[in-house]
Amino acid sequence: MYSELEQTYSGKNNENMLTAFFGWWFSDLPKKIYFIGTSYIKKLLRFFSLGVLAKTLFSPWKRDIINTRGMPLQERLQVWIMNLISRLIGFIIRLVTILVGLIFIAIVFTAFVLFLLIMLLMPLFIILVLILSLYG
Amino acid sequence: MAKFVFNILRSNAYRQSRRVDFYQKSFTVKILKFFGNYVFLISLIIWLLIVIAGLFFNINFYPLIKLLLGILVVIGGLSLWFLWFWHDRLVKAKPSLTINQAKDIITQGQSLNLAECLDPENGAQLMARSYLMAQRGGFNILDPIFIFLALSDTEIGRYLFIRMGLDPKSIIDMKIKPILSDIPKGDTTNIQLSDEMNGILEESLNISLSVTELEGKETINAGDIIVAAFKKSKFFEDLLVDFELKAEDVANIVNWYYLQERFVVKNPFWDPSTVISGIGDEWAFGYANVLSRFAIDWTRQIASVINQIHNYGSSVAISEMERILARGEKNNVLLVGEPGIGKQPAVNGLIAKIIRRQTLPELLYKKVYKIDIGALLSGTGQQGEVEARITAILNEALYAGNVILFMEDIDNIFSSEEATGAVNASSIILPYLRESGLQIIGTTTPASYHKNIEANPGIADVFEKIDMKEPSKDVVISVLEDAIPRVEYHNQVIFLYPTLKEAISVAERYIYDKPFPAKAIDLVNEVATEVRKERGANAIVIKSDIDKVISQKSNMPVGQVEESEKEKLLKLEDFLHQRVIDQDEAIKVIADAMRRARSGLTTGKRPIGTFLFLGPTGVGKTETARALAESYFGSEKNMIRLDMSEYQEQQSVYNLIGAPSSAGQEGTQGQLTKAVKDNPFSLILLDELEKAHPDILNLFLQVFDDGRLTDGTGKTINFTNTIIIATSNAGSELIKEEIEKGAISNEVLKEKLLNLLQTKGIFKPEFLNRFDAVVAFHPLSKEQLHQIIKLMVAELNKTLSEKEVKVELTDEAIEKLIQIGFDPVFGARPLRRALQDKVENLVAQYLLQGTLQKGQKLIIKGEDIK
Repeated sequence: MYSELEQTYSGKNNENMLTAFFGWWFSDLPKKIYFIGTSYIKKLLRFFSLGVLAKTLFSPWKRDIINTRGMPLQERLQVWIMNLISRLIGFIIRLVTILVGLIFIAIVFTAFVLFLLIMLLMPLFIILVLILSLYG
Repeated sequence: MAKFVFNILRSNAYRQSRRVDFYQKSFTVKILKFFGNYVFLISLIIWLLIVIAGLFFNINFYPLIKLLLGILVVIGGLSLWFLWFWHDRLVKAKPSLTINQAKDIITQGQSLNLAECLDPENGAQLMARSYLMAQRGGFNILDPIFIFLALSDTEIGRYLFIRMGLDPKSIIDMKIKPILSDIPKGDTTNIQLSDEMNGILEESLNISLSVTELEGKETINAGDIIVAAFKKSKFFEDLLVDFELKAEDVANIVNWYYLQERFVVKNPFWDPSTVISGIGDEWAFGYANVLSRFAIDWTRQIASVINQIHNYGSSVAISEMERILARGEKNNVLLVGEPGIGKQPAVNGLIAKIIRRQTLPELLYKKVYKIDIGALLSGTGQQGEVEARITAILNEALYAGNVILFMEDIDNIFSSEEATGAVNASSIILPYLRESGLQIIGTTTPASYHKNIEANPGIADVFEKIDMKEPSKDVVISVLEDAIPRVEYHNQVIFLYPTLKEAISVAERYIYDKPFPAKAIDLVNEVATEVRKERGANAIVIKSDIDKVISQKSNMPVGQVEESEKEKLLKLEDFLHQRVIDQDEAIKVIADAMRRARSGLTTGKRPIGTFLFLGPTGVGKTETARALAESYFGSEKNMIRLDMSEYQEQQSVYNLIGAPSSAGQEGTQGQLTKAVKDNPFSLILLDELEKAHPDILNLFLQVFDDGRLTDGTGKTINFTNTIIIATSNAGSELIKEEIEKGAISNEVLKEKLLNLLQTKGIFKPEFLNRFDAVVAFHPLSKEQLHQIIKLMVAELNKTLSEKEVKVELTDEAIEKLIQIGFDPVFGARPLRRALQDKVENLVAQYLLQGTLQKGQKLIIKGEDIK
């Protein structure tokens, strides 16, 4: 993962400091923030199991269903309702988890976009902070 | 020679190395990190809330607080901005010249400053230190000894010296100071490279180029320079000789250092691989309530130690397991191998791959549960309870849909024996295994596989067998390098690299009851405990500690020959002559062979010594073997004696080496192979070898040549730590005749004997040629018999010493005993009985009568022998 990140740097140690600085500011920095941001979102996707939950959204909760084969009709109906409840519980829990996960991802995404903007527009950001601190 | 200059102080790599140093150690950077990482985020959030409250909700705070927070945000932001730039562009910048570019430039015949290819983090630092040391000392030439001096100041250098067992101070005092005066002093503004230094730099470039494709390496690091120095510098080569190491060993130590360094690196917070399991991964699969009672969640166990799991030598088995488990049919795995060969580590490696999501998609959400046989069998009073539990486990595992059951020694539950505790669950498990929903990884040994699984085709069919092979020595070195830091931490001792090599070497030679890597790991654990016990914490484990533990285990001298043992070896003839009268040639041949073996001149691929003793009965052949067993293996008990007249039939081969197993029936063990397997450090005495069936003699051809024999059950038995002595009476008549004719040299007698044995077809020439020595034992003369009786009386006196009485025989009495006891056919053998009848009985009688009392000496004269 580190080496993957380091591949985003293109600077060499014999270049002019000014060139190096602008090269880093407008090329490496956005790449780095993009890489960290997408990695962190991948981590959240994995943490909330969003892929698995979406694929198994309507599956019974913990496979908690009973096979109705060979049962009389009335019992079969009861079991069928129980199985439906199991699926419903599974659906609700999964949906809630997916929503919570998505909210987290949205927050993280926004934070990274803001952070990217701050880092890219650092001189403007400093002026803005000072103005708002004095007159806001 | 490649064309390059080396100007380290003017290189970008050196400038960068100083920046790296500053970044790692400077207080200013620490302050910037504090502001950039913590103050910025916290102050930004508070400041934003205050600004939003003021702008949108008209809630105003003290303006000064807002201004202070704003300033903190600005300082924090600028700190972060500056730090990142510093880190990305100045500290982690790419080299201005990569090793591949350097290679191209050199190939084109152009010149370059090779210092530009150095890794700033350690390569450039090491070389700059070497250069500055030479400069400060006023030297005009950069010699490899300055690399040695600089190494003492680096982490990798200190690690290398500790693992080599090298004290840099003593090397500086004893080796470097005397040669420093030979290095010319002069203008330090233009220090020249010595020829050896040029060679080292060129070699370090070659070393780094050799791994560039494999590891994506772009620079020359300190490790490359160190290995090159040990290859190209006389000073470093001499160190290798002193410490009994090779340049490859230094490369291994360097790799060991980098390996350990890599393991302490923490994963960054945003790394997705730090999530071992998602919160909803389990929700699509069934419960594991019964499993959690009778099985251990092995995936969770491995997840907690995942950084310690490395797949040395088991990657092939792991890939094979993945393929089998991912397919639709016959997807159960059976790992077959001797205990300690690495079956469980292979399963752990598979689980680690699943956790790291580096496996096939079919296995991504699988969980491995290890059946806890103890929990499964405990508290089962009623009949059929175990079977009920197994059924419940299988039902749950099948229903869960993501469970792989891991059963160690799976043959136990397929056992057909009706022994206590044995369970035959094959009829319960088989139907489940035939369905593709349940998966099992089982382990077993080859012998148990043949006995319990192969014999039952139904079971064998549902498993895919993977044979686990013993890893190579290189792999064992990696396994030990991985295991030793934990052993060191646990026992608070330090292992030297030569100790590690010695552990592998002696484990290979002297431990046969388990395979690699287990035998090497067990040995280092045992030695570490022993050293900690003897010398306390922080003790250094050296080669002789390994030898000592192995000597204690095998009761055999191992390692450097100690002074007392040297004395014993040099005077082995005298020691053997204390028990064997005359037979000088035989004693000398044996003593020479033993000295060769202990001096390390033997290959270790044949028995220590193989001898054929020829001569009449009662001349000391067996006694010589006994004396040798006592002197070399510590006790006469380490002698395996086989009367070869019992092996005259062809079928008797099976009695000697065992019978092969047939379906459902275990093979029988052979008398010889079992004895050697139980006691691999022993003397084997094959009495009357000429009477054995020719097929048996052919078996020994392999033993004499390769030092091993495959027994009836297919197991290879090692004979390399045995001494084999075969005796034969064949040719006794010839010996007697030749001796009676008058003086004959040993060489001529032996020649005649060998001719006789071959012409009469007693032994084939190729068989006789396999012996290290064929020794003719001469018939004993009367004078020698006289000495033998004195030896026997001395032995008797040793027994009587407890009763504090002594016996002495006059010459007359000895003569009389010889007349009674000597037999031309049986040699000195009847003498012992004569001594028993005529002397021991007399002593017993006197003791009982009270005539012979404590402190008295009984002198037996000629007339007393009746």
